[in-house]
Amino acid sequence: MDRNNSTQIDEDDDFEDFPANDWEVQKDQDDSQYWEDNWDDSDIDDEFSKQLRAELQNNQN
Amino acid sequence: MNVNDSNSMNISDAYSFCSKLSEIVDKKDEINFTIIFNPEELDENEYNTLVDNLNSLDNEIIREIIDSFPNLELYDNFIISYFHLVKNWDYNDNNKLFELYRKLYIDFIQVFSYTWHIILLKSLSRSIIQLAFLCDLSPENKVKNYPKIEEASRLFSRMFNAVVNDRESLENSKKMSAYFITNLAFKTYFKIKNFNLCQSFIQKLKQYDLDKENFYKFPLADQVTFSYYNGRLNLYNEKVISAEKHLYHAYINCSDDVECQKNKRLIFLYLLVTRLILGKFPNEFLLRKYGYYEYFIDLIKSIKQGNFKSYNEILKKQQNWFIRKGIYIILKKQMNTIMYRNLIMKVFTITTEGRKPLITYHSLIKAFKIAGIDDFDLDDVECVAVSLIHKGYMKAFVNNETQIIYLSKKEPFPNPFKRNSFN
Repeated sequence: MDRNNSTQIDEDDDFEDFPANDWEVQKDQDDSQYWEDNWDDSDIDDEFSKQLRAELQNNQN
Repeated sequence: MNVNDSNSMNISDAYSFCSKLSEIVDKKDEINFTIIFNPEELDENEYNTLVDNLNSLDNEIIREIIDSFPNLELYDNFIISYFHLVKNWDYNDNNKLFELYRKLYIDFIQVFSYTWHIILLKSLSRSIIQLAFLCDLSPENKVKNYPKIEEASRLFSRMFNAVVNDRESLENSKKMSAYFITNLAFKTYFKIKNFNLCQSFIQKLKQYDLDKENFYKFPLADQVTFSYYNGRLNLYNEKVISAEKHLYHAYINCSDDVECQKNKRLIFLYLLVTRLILGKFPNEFLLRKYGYYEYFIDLIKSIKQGNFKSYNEILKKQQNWFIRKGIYIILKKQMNTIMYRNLIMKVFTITTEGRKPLITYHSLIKAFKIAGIDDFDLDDVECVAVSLIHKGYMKAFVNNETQIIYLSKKEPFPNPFKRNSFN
């Protein structure tokens, strides 16, 4: 890690004072549409899945 | 020092200072109460005149002047400390400034009594922490010790103890500054990485009934900041479910304004980590929005696959960044469960298409090997399966003799995040 820059880096990681004490919270600030908790096994064609498939289906024959 | 403006107070000698302050105290004028005790509000002329005047008077005379205003009795030591600060002000010497503000802060602990004092409290507290950071974190400080930051944390502790004892009802009390002070104390503890000291604040907040419903009476800025630190503390102590709740509260209540983006981005990072562990994943849009796409996109893929080999490779590759953010250890230690679950689910999908819902231990050993876990034997496999069943991640039972896992026909792999939310 670059010691010379460590102050800069530290400041980047610090939580700052808010400019105001209170504010309006938007109702739709809940961005739950951008989070998924029921993911499909959609990457069936990735390398890892292919390897698994090959190995396990061999096993069953 | 400010350019002379028509609103500046005439306070260039001890008497007119006290006279003005007496008016302010009478009116409970919280804004001017803060301005009058800020040397940086004086323009150069006023400053010089005041210093000359103060230097020409000995302490006894100054006390007499203060005493001639009966409503300033509460403030006498504080005023004297403030005059001392003004006389010795030195822009170039942060250490000296810190010591001067330290004395002033200690005197303010005795003064601080009313909600209209809170703005000054905040101003003084911010000066303390800013000076402490300037002193201890300057590039010249090679030794990495933090005496001023530690001293600042002690000052906040003292102030906090003086504040929470107040018997007034919450809204009318200096207790309304409790979370503000706590947050500054936490900021120092996080900087020196001594998280254990946070506990005494949390205990006292509970003891004095400032948590639960009363928490929500505090300003949003204080709530969001506290929830952020509390969430991170829980994460550090591996209490992931609690961490997620606190961080979500911070996230959802943090303003979306551009000035708050840095904070929101920080909150998002730690919320993200808790949610990965619990089984909820952000989509690409969100990762890009907060600037974390490159750090997490591949990691998330490995988690979904249960691919330990690539997960560990990515962790190692970005080790420095994860360590700097304080999330390396938790990512290394806490991701196992969800990844076992995902891997076994993959095996289930591949091997049971149209067949009975069962998985052999042997097929899992093969799968784990491909996923990067070479040294699992049948006992280890059974252990993992039992653990997942016990945690509600898998609906099944194991048969040690046949070495087969028999899964429920209905929802053998419940949604993990929903499962965790009910704990």
